[in-house]
Amino acid sequence: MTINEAHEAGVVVVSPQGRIDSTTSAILERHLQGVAAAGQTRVVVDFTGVDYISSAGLRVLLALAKRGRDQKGRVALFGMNDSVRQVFELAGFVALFTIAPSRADAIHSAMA
Amino acid sequence: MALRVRIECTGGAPEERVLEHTDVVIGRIATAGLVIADASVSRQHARLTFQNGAWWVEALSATNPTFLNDATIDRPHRVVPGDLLKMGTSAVRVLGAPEAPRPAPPPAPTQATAADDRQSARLDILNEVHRALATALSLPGLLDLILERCFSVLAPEEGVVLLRTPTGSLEPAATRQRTGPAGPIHVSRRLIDEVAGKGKPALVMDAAVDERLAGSESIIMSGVRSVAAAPLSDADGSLGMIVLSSRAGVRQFTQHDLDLLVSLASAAALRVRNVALTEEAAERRVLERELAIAHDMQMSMLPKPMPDQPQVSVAATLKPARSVGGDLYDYWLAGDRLWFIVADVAGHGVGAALYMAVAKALFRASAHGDVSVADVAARMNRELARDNDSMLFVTAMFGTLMLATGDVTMVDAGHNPAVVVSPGEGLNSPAIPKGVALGVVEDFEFTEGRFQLAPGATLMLYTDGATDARSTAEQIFGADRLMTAIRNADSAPAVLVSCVTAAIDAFATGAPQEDDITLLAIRRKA
Repeated sequence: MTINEAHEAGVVVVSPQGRIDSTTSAILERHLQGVAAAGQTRVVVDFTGVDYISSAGLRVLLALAKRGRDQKGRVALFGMNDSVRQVFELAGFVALFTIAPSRADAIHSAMA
Repeated sequence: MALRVRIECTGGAPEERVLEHTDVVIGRIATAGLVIADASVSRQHARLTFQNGAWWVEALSATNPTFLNDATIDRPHRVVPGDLLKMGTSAVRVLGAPEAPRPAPPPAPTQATAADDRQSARLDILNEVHRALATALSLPGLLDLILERCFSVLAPEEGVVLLRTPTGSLEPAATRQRTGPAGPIHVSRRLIDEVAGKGKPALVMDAAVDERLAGSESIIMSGVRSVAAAPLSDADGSLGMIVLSSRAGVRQFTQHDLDLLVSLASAAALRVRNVALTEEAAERRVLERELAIAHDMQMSMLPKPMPDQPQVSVAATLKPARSVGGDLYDYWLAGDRLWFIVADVAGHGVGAALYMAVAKALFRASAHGDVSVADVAARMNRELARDNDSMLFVTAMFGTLMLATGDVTMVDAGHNPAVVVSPGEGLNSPAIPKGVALGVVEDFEFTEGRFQLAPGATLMLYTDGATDARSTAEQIFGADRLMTAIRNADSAPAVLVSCVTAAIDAFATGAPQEDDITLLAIRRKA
């Protein structure tokens, strides 16, 4: 898995590419922990390059959201395809995340 | 005219030398004719010359005086046996003419030269070390052997083998010193970077002037040092290094010495890598054994097949992706209520399996008497969410079936939808309010869903390992194929479960199973 990172208006936009499964979720987890360790609390995860997410991937995002709450930060997601969004829906997680319709909206939410 | 002298150097044993030339510079610099490994001595401190049938000494340093029998000298003085030349904290005693050479041994028939002898000794060492590699000699034994052989041929004063530890630091694995106590040997960071880091052998003629050591602490704390260092490395990277050092006045290493050391180091690297692989394999065997035990325990926690009941029959399967997994199913009869659950812990492996064991115990402990399914969900969720820093979670579909009426009460805690197979009506998915997976939101209030299972109908629960099973062509089995497999199967639970399993297996054949697959079928008899 490759993960791209961009910085925009004080927000980190993390863009994982490919599948987030039980193997690759560890890579994403380390990356997001690195973001947190750098003191970044406003995080957007860009799903436009993600074609699959497993429950192990959901766990990594839950941990990100939990850190966000603990550190009074902001986390927003955007760009999910239907099957990825369905995984969030099945797990009952849609209400737990800010899922924005676009990149600009996601960054705006994370800035708020 | 040759002159025998004895160097009395600070902190070192006296060394006798024979001066063969008629003009000999004494000093710390490595190119001096008589090198004194003492920082208090100037690089070019004094000079001995043979003129008019006698030896003379003169001072070369304007600032660092030379003493002849405790008197400073400012012009050439004649020296005689017994004289003492003091420079810094070291001294050179003039002894006189060399002892008469012993009669030369008769020439060997092969006319072997000294160089040939050295070459042959080096080949012997390499052969010996390679033979040792083929035996069961332990790694410490091999490292000791290599240092010992280095000492016999290359004659360093100190030697150390540094090996990389699992944390990445380099630690001494074997040390050897010619004289004195074998205290800690300090190797400079720059030399480690150069040799172990970049994998380059290094030959240092004079540690005090070599730029690889510029600005660093001296390789060994005092004196002018000649150092030969070779990396222990193989195709997979650096394993450590071997370092030999000597006071430059005693011995300076040559390129030939370094070549031999490099050969010895690569032999040692082979064994170091083999030992590491052997240890790794042993650890893996232990881990595999523990995982096998965990697998057996996990499987033993699953309920025994339920004998056919007058009103209901149940069948289930769990196929773990690794030897232990994060799925679980359970069912039991409590009076006229059948309790059932299918659940999936995020991820798999030992951590997921432990969390799954907790979830199962909570379900068994919570679901009893007249407690409502929603209350069971709330209690399990609260316990699992408490102190859940790693954010593990369990998706679960569970509830009760009243045997007399067919009334089903279920909670959906973030799980895949259930399927009901009704005779003559095909498949439908009962509407159960969506709740959050267990362990995430501590005070979440779950809402029950209710429906009636008609006589002859079958309720089927599964985990996402079934829908997400992948083929070698990277296609996903998917909900549609799952529904087709269910529709095509006989709705008797045992048949249904084995037919659906077979359909998934056929689809995913040849591809690694990435997630646990669990199926549970409950049929209300007609």
